[in-house]
Amino acid sequence: MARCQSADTCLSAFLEKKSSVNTAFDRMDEQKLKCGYGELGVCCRLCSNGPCRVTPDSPKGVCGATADAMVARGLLRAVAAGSACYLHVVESTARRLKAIATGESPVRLRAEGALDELARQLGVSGGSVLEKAGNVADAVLADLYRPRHEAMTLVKRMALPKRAQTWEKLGLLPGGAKSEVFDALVKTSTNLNTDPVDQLLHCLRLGICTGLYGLNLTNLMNDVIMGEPEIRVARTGFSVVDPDYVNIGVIGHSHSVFAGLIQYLETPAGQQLGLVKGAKGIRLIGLTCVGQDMQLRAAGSGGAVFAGQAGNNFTQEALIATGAIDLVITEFNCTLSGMEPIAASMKTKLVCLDDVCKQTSSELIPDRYGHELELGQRLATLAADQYAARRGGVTIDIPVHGYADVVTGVSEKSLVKLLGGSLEPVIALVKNGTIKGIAGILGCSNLAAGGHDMTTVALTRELIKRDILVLSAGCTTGGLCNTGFCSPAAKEWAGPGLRAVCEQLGIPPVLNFGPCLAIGRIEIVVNLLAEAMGLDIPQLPVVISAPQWLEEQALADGCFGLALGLTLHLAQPPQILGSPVVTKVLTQDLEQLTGGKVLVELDPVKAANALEAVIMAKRAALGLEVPA
Amino acid sequence: MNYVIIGGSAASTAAAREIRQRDPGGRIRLFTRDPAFYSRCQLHLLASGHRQVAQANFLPHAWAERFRIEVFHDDAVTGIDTGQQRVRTSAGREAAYDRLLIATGARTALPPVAGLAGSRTFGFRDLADAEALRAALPGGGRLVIIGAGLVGCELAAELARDGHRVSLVEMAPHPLPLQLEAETGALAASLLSAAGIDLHCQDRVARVERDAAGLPVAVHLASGTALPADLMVVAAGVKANTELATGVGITTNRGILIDRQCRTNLPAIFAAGDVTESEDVIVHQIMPSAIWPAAVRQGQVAGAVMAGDTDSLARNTGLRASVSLCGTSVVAIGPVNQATADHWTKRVYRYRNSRGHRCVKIFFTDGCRLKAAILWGEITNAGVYGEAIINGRDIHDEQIVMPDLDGARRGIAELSIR
Amino acid sequence: MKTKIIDRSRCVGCKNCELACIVAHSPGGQLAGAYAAGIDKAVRARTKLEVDGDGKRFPQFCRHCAHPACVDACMSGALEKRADGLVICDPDRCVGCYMCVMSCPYGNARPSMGEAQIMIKCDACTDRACMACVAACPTGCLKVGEGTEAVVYNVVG
Ligand SMILES: Cc1cc2nc3c(=O)[nH]c(=O)nc-3n(C[C@H](O)[C@H](O)[C@H](O)COP(=O)(O)OP(=O)(O)OC[C@H]3O[C@@H](n4cnc5c(N)ncnc54)[C@H](O)[C@@H]3O)c2cc1C
Ligand code: SF4
Ligand code: SF4
Ligand code: SF4
Ligand code: SF4
Repeated sequence: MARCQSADTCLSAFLEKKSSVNTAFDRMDEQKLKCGYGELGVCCRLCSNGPCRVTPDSPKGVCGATADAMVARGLLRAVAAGSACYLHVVESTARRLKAIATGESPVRLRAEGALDELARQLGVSGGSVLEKAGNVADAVLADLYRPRHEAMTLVKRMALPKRAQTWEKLGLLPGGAKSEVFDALVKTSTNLNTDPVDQLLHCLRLGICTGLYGLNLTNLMNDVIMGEPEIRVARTGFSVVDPDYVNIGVIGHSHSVFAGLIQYLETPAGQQLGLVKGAKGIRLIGLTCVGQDMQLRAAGSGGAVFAGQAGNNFTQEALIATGAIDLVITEFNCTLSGMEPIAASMKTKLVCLDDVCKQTSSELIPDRYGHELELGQRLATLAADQYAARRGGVTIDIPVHGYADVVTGVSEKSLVKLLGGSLEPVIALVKNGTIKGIAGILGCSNLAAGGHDMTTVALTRELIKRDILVLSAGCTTGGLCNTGFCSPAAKEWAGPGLRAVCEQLGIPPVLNFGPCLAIGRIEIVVNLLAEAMGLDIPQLPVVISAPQWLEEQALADGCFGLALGLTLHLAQPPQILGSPVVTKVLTQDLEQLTGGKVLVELDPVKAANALEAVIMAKRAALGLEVPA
Repeated sequence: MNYVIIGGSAASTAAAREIRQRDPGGRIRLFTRDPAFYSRCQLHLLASGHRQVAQANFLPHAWAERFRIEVFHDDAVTGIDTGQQRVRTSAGREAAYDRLLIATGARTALPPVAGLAGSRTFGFRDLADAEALRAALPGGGRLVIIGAGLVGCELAAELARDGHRVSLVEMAPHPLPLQLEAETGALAASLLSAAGIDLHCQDRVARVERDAAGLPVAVHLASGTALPADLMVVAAGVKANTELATGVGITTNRGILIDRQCRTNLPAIFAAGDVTESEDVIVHQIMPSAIWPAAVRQGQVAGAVMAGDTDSLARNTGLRASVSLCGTSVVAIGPVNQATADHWTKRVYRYRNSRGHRCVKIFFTDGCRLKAAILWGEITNAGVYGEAIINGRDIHDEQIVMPDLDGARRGIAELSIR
Repeated sequence: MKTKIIDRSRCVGCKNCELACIVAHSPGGQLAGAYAAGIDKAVRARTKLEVDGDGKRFPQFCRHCAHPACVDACMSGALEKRADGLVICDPDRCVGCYMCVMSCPYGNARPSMGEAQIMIKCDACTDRACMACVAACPTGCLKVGEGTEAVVYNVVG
């Protein structure tokens, strides 16, 4: 029995100390024996004749489905579910924007400038701010709700024209996003579609729905509602928690769900609730991506009531085990079920705002449009009451953890601003070889690929050593912040070229874009680079990696990357290796279609070599210098 | 103790090994007419040249040294003196024995057909036969194989695969008449024909036409068909090598009669393998058992008993065959053809497995007992059926038609053989 | 000696033993590569989960018999009962006559698939530290212990 290790050694040490608490790090060992059929994707549970498993002795399911059909079906189902998750987020964000526009919601828009830009991009007009906001929301919702045979209209306004042409040629322009998900479920039911290639194309369409709507439009609308990211320095890690405050942990992906709570806590009345219980006030503690979003936009909203980002998905159980969290609010994933017994033992109250993440022991208090401030007040009161009821009865033990000088607030716009108004300086550095290329290190953390954040950290270290600039979004960046990669001192780990750039611009070698939703922002940066250089995306010396991808959403994100024509590295393969056809299409043939391909490599050094080789090949094709 | 073993094949070597394991000090001498140890079952591979003699050795490396067996190759025993308890050999050796094993096997039986005996007619039992055929093949002529039993079919398929022009003649209505019934027999016929073999069933060789030099010209069949022939291989039955035994008062019928301890009617003399006749446990008849595993098992029992131990032929049968016909695996167990005429129930299960292979399973049952089975195309678990047949295990009717084992396996987990 | 102890009452029918055996005998020995050339070319497990006549799951493993019928049947000398008690097939000597398949009373001598026409059987993972099937069994149905035989079925359930 060995506890799973983290690249974040402070976290490992803390878990060691809290050995009486059962966390995912302990359960990993109990679950270490994997089912190979599941890993290969060749177990089908779709009908009552099953489950069917493919072996040389039983090469087909009862229905006749081959390994290829089972694997493709399984992958499309997973991508559809992942896409559905992000579409849920964009839908609720658009509905909030709409509620604000109609005056139903008391939430105030924090970035009207961002609204103008978004409306312009989407080709939406409107006399007043609110009218414009309403029209933007309507345009997004109309696309989401379209039937499958009607192409979504905003796709061509969001995508690079060259990309849109490629997609059109390949039949990848998606119909209504929710209908695409719906029909993916139809297709993957039993005795329906068994053509692996058709299913993989559907995955790519869902990737486009995910990327342009689930990611980008969510970000852009949340920028309007919650304020735009600004580059600044912040603290991350468990040390952001001050036990003298009423502490509310936040888990989820929808920043604007917290609009009412933040707005309320920003008022003296809000803080007073805590003060009367003897605390110094009430603060939010970031966990998972919604915390990243709060950190990203702290300049525009909630800066005073947001203590900081504590850690990524798999740190939540440990954070609750510190005893310093009075209330945990969840509104989406990554809500780990394992937190429940720990919360019970720490008398931490669990509240969920959306039944999509309801837990057995959490109280469901639905977030209703128009009632955001009431909700905020109710949550603040619950937190303060819980503080009063539990403090004294629990031991609080917060480790010294994290970094105080994390550079945050990077977005497609704040980056351009930092560079003086355009991406030209970066382009010049790439062209002259000071920076060989750019790698997006994206997505989740898992405990599987070497341990918590292990591969993410090792791969990032290898890439920056090779003078490859790293842009990170999602739980990867949560981990990278807590291991020092987003602090200026990390320049010491970079190669000479990248280090010089870091020194010149005062940035770390890893740029922290925040939540996984900001994978969309990184892809906008890629779009902008392609536009500025007059190239298509597959030509750029840019790669992406989701080294420690965890769930279905990551697969949907990955499909967007593939549709964009990027080389996507994964440390662990999705459950596809039982199918030679699916494996070959994704790792080879797709490059002829969209320009993208999947590259699987568990070893971080080998992965970095492979990614560097891709970058070098693209440089060579562009006639750029290829440093030895 | 002096042991003399006549023969250098399946039964004889198995006996030698069993003796040595029980009698570390005994002297074991083994005389064989063969020039080397080789597996007869691979003769077709030697004839086609796909295997060499050295590869066909079925014994472990340094077998004779390891078990301290004195082996005399190319040395046939020419006579037994039962009074003196000694044997004489063609090389002029004499060897005294306390225990003697006769495991001389069988040889090709030439049917009494006019013109058959003569040049370019080969038997197919010994290395010499395979080598002679191999030497004659490059002539590129027409080959007629007489007899579509296991040996004839395997040889025909092997040579046709290499592009030789092969005709195969069989008296019965279909190939492998002892192993297959009509339906699977027809499948076998179509497989062989598809492999390019010119198959003539339900026909008989009436005479062989030879030219003035005595070389074959054509094989004339009873039906009137004439098959042009340059080479002929006879694979239409064998005759046990009982000559040594008959002269000295050992009881023989089609073979040397042995009991369950492999004893002949003479006290110090044992026999095993294709030279014998013994009681078959499936049909309860005294009959020859012309298969390798039976010869090995009889050799083992003979060896153990010769060395003073006890053992018994509890599971003795020759009614089992496994054959690969042009890539299709077939196993037949039990008296499948006797069954058709009998009061047994015949159940046929035809299917195509998901690898695309055509498969047939045929079961013959007597009440709830499995009596015989033919597995065509998919032979995994054949031994489990064999076990049920040999042990007279109960089978549940509704289960036997399933492609799987179910009934046949009932209780096998707890079963221990021997 | 090392004994594989099988308690069939604990078998849940997950077939992980089969897959582990396939992987252990695949070129490369990795799960990722086991089906890479397509299921028709994948190697076959040396073991099989069967259903017994009593309707219960029966993980069918070679017993490395004291008197192996497969060895008696082998006309090429490929199969051997070794001094260490294991019954091992030498694939270079095997001619694929399947006399052993016909003879193994338990169905553990099996025709190959995806490989040359030879027999395949359990080799007790002699080239690995731990038997792959045992390591993959999540229920404790398969265990390794000390004993006098290579394989023991605990006759319960
Ligand atoms: C081509 C062919 C393919 C076959 N394929 C199969 C198969 O796939 N499966 C199967 O089960 N069976 C098969 N058989 C049958 C199998 O070979 C025999 O059942 C088996 O060899 C019998 O073994 P044995 O020891 O009794 O006799 P044999 O193998 O016939 O050996 C007899 C031995 O005695 C020696 N000998 C004979 N007379 C004397 C003498 N006077 N002095 C000294 N030595 C003497 C011979 O040289 C030989 O060494 C096949 C046979 C042939 C010919
Ligand atoms: S293959 Fe069958 S006969 Fe051979 S040792 Fe294994 S269980 Fe026994
Ligand atoms: S298939 Fe191979 S191992 Fe089995 S009996 Fe034939 S030669 Fe021996
Ligand atoms: S011991 Fe090894 S060879 Fe035998 S069944 Fe288990 S995995 Fe297969
Ligand atoms: S791995 Fe264990 S539980 Fe699973 S099928 Fe095999 S023996 Fe049964």
